[in-house]
Amino acid sequence: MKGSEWTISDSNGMAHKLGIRGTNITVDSNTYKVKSSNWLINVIDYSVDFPGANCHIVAIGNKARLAVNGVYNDDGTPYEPVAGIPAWIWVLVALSILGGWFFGGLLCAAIGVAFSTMYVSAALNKNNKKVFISFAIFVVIALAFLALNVFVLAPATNM
Amino acid sequence: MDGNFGQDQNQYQQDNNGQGMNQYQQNANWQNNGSYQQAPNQNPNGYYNGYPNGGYPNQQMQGNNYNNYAANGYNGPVVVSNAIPQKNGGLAVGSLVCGIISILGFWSLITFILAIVGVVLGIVNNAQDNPNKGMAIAGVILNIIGFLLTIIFIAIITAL
Repeated sequence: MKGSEWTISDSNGMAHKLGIRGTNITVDSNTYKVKSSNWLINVIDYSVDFPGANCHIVAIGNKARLAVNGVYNDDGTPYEPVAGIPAWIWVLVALSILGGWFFGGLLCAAIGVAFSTMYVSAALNKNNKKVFISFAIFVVIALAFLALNVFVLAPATNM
Repeated sequence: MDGNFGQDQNQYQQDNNGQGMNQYQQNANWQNNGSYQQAPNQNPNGYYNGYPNGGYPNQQMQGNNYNNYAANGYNGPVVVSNAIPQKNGGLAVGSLVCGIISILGFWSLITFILAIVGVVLGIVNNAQDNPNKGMAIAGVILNIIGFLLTIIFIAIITAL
């Protein structure tokens, strides 16, 4: 996973380096091993507190962002806690990955992982419309994989 | 964080600019594996709750992380905590997903096992008093339906 690094200043004027690489968070010279809160995709939301700066390192998939005092520093959007994502989003994530693997094979499961990161990101932005559209697109893709397996690949292997 | 624990707490107490240790001890604990126990008077989700002037949630930091900062002239503890609660009803989600897949794929014999796993996940979720109990119950019901559909499908196939 590509790492990300940020430098922030606390209320004492001290600069601090924050970074994330894979499942390792670095705070200045200290490295903290963290773990994803989801078994299927990488979902990390860790809080790092400095004087005057409450930082949240949020990683969904391989994209990491930093929120300082409730605002993301890359685009200025407000921080939404990952814990606030509704449970049905995780149902869609598991359905896309496990269901994709079950009905469409490993390649479909990999596509499901990519779509799952989209669901979670969209849910963080409270964009349910994007979640539904993404899931509908994935269902079409999974059905195409299923049809490919049943009507093309399975008869070919039986010959 | 790993391997940094077990340091002398007195160092923390001395360098804390008069902030009492009792206050830290009362509200939260850091465990050796780095996980974080939620204090009853803290934000239940553990996320940003708007500490003015850089105040901290009252927490007790074990280990030398703070001491490193104190040696550098830093006047406060660095608190790294997971903002996602440990009990998040993952078993209920697993149960529901197993139920949906076992119904959609009843024609596959694998769903026979999947339905049993889903029922177990749903029951364990509710037995452990995890959140999403309704979802777990829905998962158990869907798994039972999927299980029955699979049995009916097998019966029809063997009868033909």
